[in-house]
Amino acid sequence: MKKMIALLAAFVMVISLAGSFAAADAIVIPPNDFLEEHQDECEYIEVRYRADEDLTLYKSPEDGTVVTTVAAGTTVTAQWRYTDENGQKWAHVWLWEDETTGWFPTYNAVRLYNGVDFLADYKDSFTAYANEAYDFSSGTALYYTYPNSGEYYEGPVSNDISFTEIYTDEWGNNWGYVGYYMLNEGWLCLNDPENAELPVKTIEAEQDIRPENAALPDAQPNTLLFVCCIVGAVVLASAVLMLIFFRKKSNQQRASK
Amino acid sequence: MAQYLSILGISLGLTLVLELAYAWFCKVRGKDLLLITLVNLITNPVAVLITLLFRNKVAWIELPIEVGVVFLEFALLKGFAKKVERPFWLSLGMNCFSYGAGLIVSIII
Repeated sequence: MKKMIALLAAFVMVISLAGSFAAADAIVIPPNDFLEEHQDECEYIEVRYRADEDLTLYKSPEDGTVVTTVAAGTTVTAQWRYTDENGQKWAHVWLWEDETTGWFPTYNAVRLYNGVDFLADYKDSFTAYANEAYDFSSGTALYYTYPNSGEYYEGPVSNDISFTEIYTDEWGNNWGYVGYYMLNEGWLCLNDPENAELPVKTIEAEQDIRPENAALPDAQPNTLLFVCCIVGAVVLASAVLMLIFFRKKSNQQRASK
Repeated sequence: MAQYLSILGISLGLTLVLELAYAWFCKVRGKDLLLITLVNLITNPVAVLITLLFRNKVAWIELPIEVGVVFLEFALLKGFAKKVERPFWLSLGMNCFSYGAGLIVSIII
């Protein structure tokens, strides 16, 4: 009977292992990264920051362990933002080149104005697209971050492309916003869609101010080493207890046989 | 660190409850139940810690860990148990039962 029960239990275990479920000796596996743990408290953003001085990246807003330093002059893209209990904003970056991630207080870098900011700040200046015809017969155009930003990339267009917003800059150029066209997004200069020499007018983004009680977190001790020591101590203590309370009986049993 | 310790604590607590219940059902009594407790104190934290550390890198890590745990517990039961007649089947049954029950708990949760 015991063998049957054990075999049945073994069958269930093998099936579940094959199904790659998370239980193993009743283990509960939580996320192990600050971003995963505080997902509900983090805001998704797509904001670029420029490091005017060497920018230190920390392990998390709660762990001041230094991960790496980004050289002055480098521009990084932050995708997550977290606000700590002191009102200090932190940005999470992923440096693809060396697969490093880290956090920095946003007041330590210069936030760059982007297309999302422009759509919000200048929405009262937009007019609706009235299906005017523009010549995109070349098949390519320059997608600007925002009108007169000076930042662009070349992408595909066609004469049937449509725009959600129309904007006229101070030089009389008409711009059309493309929310999505064949994976491309940005502003096209409707008068001169392939001109890379358009007038540039850089807009300064609003910067985060360092809170009065802002403080960097302390570097946390090597958590893993400490946990391993605790586990080792438990194992050692249990082994000693086992030898003390059960070994004598084992020897007695062997002697009596 | 608190998170690590809570995971280890919960896993150990749940495992002890399940395996002791299984052992009791298999008519294990007295000090052999204490022995089973000590055996799990030796195997469970180590197994959980290894799984936590390597799970993301080695998806199949749980199988060899569980096999190792079964054989280690069998060896300890065989060497120290007072009245356990079939230590291998007991070890296999206890571990499979605790694993399966934990799986059901995780599905429900």
